[in-house]
Amino acid sequence: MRIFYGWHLKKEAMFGILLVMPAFIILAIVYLFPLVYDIDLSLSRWNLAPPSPKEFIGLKNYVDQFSDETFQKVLYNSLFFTGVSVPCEFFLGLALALLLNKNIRGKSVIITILALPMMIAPVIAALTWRWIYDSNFGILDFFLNQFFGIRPLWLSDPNIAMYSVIIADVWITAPFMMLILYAGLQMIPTERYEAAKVDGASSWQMFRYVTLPSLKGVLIVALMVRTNDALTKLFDVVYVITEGGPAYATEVLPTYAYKVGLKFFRLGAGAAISIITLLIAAMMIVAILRASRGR
Amino acid sequence: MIRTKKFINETLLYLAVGVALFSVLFPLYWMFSTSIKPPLKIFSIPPRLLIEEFTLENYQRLFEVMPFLQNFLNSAIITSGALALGLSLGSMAAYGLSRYQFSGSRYFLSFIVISRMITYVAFVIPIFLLETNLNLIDTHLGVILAHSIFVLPFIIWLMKSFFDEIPKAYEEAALVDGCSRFRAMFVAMRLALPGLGTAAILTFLDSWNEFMFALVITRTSASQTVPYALVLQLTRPYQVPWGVITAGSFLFTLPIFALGYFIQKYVAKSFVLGR
Repeated sequence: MRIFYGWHLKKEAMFGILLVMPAFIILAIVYLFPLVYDIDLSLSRWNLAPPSPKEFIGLKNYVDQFSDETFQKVLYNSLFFTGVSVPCEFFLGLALALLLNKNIRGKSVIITILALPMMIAPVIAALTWRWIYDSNFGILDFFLNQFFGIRPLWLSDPNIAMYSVIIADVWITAPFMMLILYAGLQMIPTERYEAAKVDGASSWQMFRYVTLPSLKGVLIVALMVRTNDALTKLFDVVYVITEGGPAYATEVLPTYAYKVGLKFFRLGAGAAISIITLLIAAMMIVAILRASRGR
Repeated sequence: MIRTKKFINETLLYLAVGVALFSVLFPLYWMFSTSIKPPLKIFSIPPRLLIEEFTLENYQRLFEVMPFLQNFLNSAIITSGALALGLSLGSMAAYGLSRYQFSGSRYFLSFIVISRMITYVAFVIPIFLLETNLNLIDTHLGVILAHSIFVLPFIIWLMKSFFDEIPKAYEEAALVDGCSRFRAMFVAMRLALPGLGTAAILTFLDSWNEFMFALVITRTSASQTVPYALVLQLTRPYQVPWGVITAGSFLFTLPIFALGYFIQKYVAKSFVLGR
């Protein structure tokens, strides 16, 4: 009985289509149509304040953005944030995963606790950090002042605010790296380590020539996911901690797209920024894939 | 000599674990301890590190200064709605994609995989316009549909990998016994129940914690979720009510603390499976 292989039979295919259809219809309405519409918007001028009718202007929104100083700053911020936070959480996550891979008592409790930051709402985590950073009554300000005599303005100094966002974001996302890399570490067969031991490898050599190559696949996927997230999904933390300020010092692509589109009501320009964000992330992912294949 | 070296190594190991645990727990402790301090003590210099006095005043004020109960209910309704919609339609579609091939099924599958990488910000403006036209702004359904943008593809993607692991023999046996194709599907669903549990927990997390679409679509306490309502407290004049915010944060996070152990296990599992 090869019931499931008779795809060419129309009846078989019909049942499959029937099952997929409801989900497809919903996705067509909330996903495909909005995405296509976003591209259409990005090629149009359509402002709501003051109101102007929607008109097709080709690539003008894109050209305008790249020559706009604020956008350049925002783009730089996003790249800077990604360039600093992703390596930080990557190395932290790797260190934690290697730590967990050792013989530790109470491991499952420790993992559960260490994974908490990525489970609680980013908004809640960001609110907590904003309270910690508070320049009048914050606990961080108090301690730094007490022990080092410094009082950095975590939220209102344009040179520092981005680091405040990065610290909070690394706190939220390092556990993700940790869990993924830990799962990857556990899948490495112990025979490989035993073989290396027989060959007289040092612990660094074992890490370099056994652990790292075995982790490669997991590493690349985790890096891709996090790079994409850092570029295109950083919204809640910035919105809550700094609202993009002071003076656009922490504004990033996702928050800026929202602000231009639905705060300044320049729908076309906002849509163009969101599409640029999407394209930059796609280029980064391709670059990571290329680099990983090259080696 | 070897013994001392081992001892030092062990000490360093546990020291590192201790530092990691402290970095994770301190902000959470600070949130909780702020929420149970008397309002005046919250804004004292130097800050009180230890809990000296215990009060529920902030929790009481939480329900007075904002419609917290309504917000919590909104969050619960939206998350349940997104879960119900996502799990029913998503697992059905995943089953269809796992067991049948038809023209376009491969495109749909690659769309599902790619869709998970596409930034949600690209949907903010069009969804806002769409829901304005459909009169869905400031409704639960409006937010539920917006959450479907990430819930549905995720469930389809995850459940398909679960169905792929289940041998077809069970359903073939059911079909031979004269079951309809529909009944045969439920045989597979029963077997994929652990997968459905994983999908449910991870979807719960995503929808419960979501902020951006809530910000765009909700307007009043008729549909505002807890994260958005708490963020709004930041805009109060004079002094940000940190006691109220931390109290709300703690209550909102309680279900996650309760589920923490299971969630942590499933995140890695789904990631490894879906790869």
